[in-house]
Amino acid sequence: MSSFVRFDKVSKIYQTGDVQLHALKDVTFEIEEGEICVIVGQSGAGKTTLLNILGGMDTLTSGRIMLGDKEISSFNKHELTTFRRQDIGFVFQFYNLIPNLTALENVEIVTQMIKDPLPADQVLKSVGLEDRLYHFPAQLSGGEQQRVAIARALAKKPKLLLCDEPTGALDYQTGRQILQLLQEQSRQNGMTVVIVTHNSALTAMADRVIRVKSGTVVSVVKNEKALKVEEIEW
Amino acid sequence: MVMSGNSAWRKNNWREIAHTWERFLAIIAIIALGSGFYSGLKITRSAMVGSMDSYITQQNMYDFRLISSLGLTREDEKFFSGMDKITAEGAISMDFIAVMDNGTELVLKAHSITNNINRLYLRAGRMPEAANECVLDYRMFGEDVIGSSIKLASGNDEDIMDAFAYNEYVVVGVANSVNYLNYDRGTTKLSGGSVNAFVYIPLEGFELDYFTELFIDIADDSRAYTDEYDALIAGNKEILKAALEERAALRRQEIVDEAQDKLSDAQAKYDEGLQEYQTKKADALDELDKAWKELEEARQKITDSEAKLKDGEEKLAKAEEEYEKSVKEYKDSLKKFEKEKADTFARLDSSQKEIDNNRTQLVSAMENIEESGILEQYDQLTRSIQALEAALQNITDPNSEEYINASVQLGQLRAALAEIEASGVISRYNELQASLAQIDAGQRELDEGRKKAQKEFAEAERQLRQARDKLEDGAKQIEKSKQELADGWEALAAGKAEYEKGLKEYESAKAEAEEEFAKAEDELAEAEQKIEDAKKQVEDIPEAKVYVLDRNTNMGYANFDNDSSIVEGIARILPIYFFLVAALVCMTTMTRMVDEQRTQIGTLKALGYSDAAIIGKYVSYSGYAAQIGCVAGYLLGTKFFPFAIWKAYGMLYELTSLEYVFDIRLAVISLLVSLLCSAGVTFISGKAELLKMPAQLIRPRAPKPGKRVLLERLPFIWNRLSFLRKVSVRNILRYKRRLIMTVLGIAGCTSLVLAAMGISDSIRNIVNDQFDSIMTYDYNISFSEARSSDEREQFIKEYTNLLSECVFIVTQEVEVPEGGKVKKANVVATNDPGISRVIDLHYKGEQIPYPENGKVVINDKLARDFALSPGDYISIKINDAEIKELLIGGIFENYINNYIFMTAESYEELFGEEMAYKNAFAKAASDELYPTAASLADDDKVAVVSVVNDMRVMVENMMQSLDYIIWLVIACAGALGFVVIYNLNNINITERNREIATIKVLGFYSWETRSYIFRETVVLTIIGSLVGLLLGKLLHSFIMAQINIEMISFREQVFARSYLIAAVATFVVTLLVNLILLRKLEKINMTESLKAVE
Repeated sequence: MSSFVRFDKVSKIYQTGDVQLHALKDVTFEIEEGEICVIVGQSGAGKTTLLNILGGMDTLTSGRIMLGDKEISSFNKHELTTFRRQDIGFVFQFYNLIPNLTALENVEIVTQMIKDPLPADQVLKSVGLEDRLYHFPAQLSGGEQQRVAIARALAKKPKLLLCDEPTGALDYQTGRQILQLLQEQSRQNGMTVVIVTHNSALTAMADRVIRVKSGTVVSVVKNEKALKVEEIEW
Repeated sequence: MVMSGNSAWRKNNWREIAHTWERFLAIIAIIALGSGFYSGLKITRSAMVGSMDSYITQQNMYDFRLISSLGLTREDEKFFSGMDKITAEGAISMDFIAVMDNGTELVLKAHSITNNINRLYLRAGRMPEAANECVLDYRMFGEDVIGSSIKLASGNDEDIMDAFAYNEYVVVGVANSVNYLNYDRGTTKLSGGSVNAFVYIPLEGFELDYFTELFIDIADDSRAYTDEYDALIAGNKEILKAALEERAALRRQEIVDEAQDKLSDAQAKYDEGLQEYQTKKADALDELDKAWKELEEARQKITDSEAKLKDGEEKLAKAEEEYEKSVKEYKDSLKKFEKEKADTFARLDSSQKEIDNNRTQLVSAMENIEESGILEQYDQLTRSIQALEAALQNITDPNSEEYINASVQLGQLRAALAEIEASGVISRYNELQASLAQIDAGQRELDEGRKKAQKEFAEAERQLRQARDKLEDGAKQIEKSKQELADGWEALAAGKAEYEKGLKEYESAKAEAEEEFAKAEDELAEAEQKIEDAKKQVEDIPEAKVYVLDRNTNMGYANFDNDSSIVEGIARILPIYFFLVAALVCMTTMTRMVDEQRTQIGTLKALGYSDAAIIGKYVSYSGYAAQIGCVAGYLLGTKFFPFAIWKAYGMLYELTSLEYVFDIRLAVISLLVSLLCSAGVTFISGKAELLKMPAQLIRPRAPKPGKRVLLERLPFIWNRLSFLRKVSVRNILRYKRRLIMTVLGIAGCTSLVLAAMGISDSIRNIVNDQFDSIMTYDYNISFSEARSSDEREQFIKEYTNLLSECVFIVTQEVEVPEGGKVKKANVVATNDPGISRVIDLHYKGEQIPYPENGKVVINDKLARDFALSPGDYISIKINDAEIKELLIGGIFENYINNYIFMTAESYEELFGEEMAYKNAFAKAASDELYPTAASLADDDKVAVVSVVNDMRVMVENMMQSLDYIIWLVIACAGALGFVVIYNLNNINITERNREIATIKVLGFYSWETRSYIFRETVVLTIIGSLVGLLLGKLLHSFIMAQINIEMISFREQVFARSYLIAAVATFVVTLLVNLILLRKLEKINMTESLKAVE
């Protein structure tokens, strides 16, 4: 299988005054299509930066990033926006739902931006929120909110689903359910999912595990026997 | 408890400010605006009044002006000066028509120069030193007039001429007078009715022996236009009034006494005159009587002579008649006589003839006998017988021989004879003889008859002659009588003529005398009437009307009070608005700040900082901003607001500069209000949040739940909205407080701009409306003297090439008093239908006909000011005294000055005098306005040609000065709008940082992000400006109601363009804010979205 995502000596340097901070240093790895990839590391290891760059939210200082046949690293701002809009789904730690929109509308805000999206209500149904379509985020529990966030990401049929600590703000049980949902979606739709987490326990559910430390990739391990989330305990 | 003096704490607070400088600045700005607006508007009146007060004090304006209808004297002056704390100074004022050097005639009010009160403010030149020098009105003439001179026009009334010591005064200076604080120069009875300017002349320049007014100055420090001053005035008014009444009563008595004296003199003189007249009349009458008697006598004589003559004539007539009769008788007698004579002689003649015939026969017979000689014998015998007989006879003694012889002889002879006789012949002869004798006897008889006849006839003839002579004598007598009569008549005629002449003379003398009597009587009657009148006048010498006038009756002073209060009216509303917005801005800003920092607050609390210290941080944060803002606002506001408003009003007044007034009370109030609006609001809104437990605070605040909005229940609208718009709608409605604040702020901006534009609309266009659609004439021509009907026609004919219209009118300025208000109005009267071609009377698009007799039409401002409508009566004050009521027939639109139009008849009835056409409204036939005016002014008959365009320019200039206020308001409005919108958007963006980051991550293009955020601003701007347009209209009405400039009425109107401009201006501000905030929006990092909720 050819690589779907490819990082090639990607570096990111934050320049604040005279201080240079190497957030990423010569990061190189590949992710194949349909894989669930977990990027794991401690706080400040650079995993979020990595995700930001991969998601087109931030630029890199040097190196090359390919998604499929697109070279993300060469995109300008507008192209990056289009890229985010069409190819990337995001799931945030704090859900980042728009508080003033109902669950359905939070999905629709995305589906209305792109061509040929999945019907919003259908997506929400698929994440188990058919009864919650018209609830505002404040009326939903954290898990439900994260489900809405996932539905929002899925609705645009992204090439890549990026999740930043998706369970970080959730209790254990709910976190599991969310991960389960992500895994199901990936398996059912062959969608490439990248999960960033500090929780090593999650590596068990991943097809590929990338360990990051101090801005560098420590190891890239392909896990041939990915477990179902239900089977994992942490 | 940790002290807030702690340096780390202070550092933290300073950093806070440095870090959130935009927010800090916003509070400063909004507070500055609020306090600037408030203090600026509030101080304006103080500044204006203060400046006025300084000026008034400096020039020592009078506190009271005392007027008595009987005049005032030196004694009065002394009397009042003797009163406690009072200085009094007598003065003279008198209106007159002056001729300037360039020949124009102006109505000036001459004042005597007073030394202490009402000191003149000399602008150029010097004060008069000689009595024939004067100081002129600076405002009206400027400096150039110095050196010229003013003359009393010949058209002035005598008593006016008499009041002045000279006919010409040299202008040595120009000045302002506190008597005239603004442009108003007052009204007059003289031509045109309004005073053009004042002139000050030394007291010696007048020739009056009394003062027309007395100025009173009360020693007191109270400042003008303050309650203390009003109290001072109120306190003294009654005292002065009582004193003045007393003085006036004295003055009246004096005048009455004087008049009484004069009256007595006059009465004495009259009596003397009457006496003289009566004597003279008696004399004259006597003389006339005498003359009359003589005439009567003469007339009697004439009558007598006439009678006599008539009698004579009658007699003569009778005599003549008799004479005629006598003549006739005579003639008859003569005829008879002649006939008798003729008859007699004819008879005699025929008898003669018969006799002669008989004789002839006899003679022949006798001749036969004679021839026979017998006869001789016989004869002899007879003769002898006869002789013998004779002899016998002579013989006395018949016995004597002789006798016997003779007797014998006789017998012989007788025998012889008897023989012959016996022959018959003798008998025959004798017969014949006898016959002859008979015939002879006949003859004799006849002769005798003849003789007798002749004698008789002669006698008759003599008698006749005698009669004739008598007749002739009679005729002669008659003739003589006639002559006598004729002479008598002639004499009579002469006498008569003389008599007539005498009579005529007498009559003319009498007539003359009578005339003289009548004249004298008239004169006497007149004199008597005069005395009567004088008596009555003395009786009627009024109880001296006195007036104690305070400064409020001074047009300039009173108007200044109003004008300076206008701003106060506005100052009551607008600052509240600004402060309200300021409070809202502070509240939102600070609430947001507290929200943002709740974790920090929790931490601080957990660290042991007291509630007071923490609240203090925020309170002082906004407090500092408020203090800075307040100081800046106060300084700028109190500096520029009065300045701008002064620019607008100042030109109406004499003041030159505006004083800067620092009002500590106002400063403190605005600081307090500023602090209340900032720190106070912060405390109140932050308290709830700050008093929560630290644990609560450290946890992120539960997001404000999204809510369905009312609009969603209206699917037909809601479903039509695009998705993002729905989001905007929800977002807008999510924060009610912010929504209100934004709408208020934007509405404030819009409404202020609209109100300001509206003021401009209302003001700017009145000039065009007034001069293009109402008063369409180009000139107001004043004539030196009233024009008669012919003269008017001739004038119009003369200038028919220059003037397309020329309507003669009578104009008079009157006062309209009611309910304490007094407004000036121009009465215009004419019967010329052409008036409607030079003045277009209309109201709200409808033509208003020129009034009929007994009705008037008045302008709308007058109607509004006194709440009058057609059918009501308007009171007007004529000649400063009489109040008359006029029936209002209609109301018309007018913007400059007040007008009352009426017909000539109404005017004559109203003023009780004939129409004196001294003015004409005229329209130029060409565009050459000024050359035409110049040619008109060249006419000797024309006194002044005022070109309406000059007035237009003047008003336009005045209006332009209001632009300062307008621009100031617009600038404030813009600033307000900017601060509010900026602050709001700033908060909005800051608060929704995460949301914005999220949507960016979700792939919103920049423009989508922009419109996502700014759409809300735009919608709020739309709502705000709509509300603002409505509010602006109300605000405009409010301000227009407050702005009340004496001679100008504004049409409350706002053009569509202004609405558009106000809306566009608001959008420009919004756009500007958006442009500035765009950078901030772009800067929002998407990675924010990944951060934990703070």
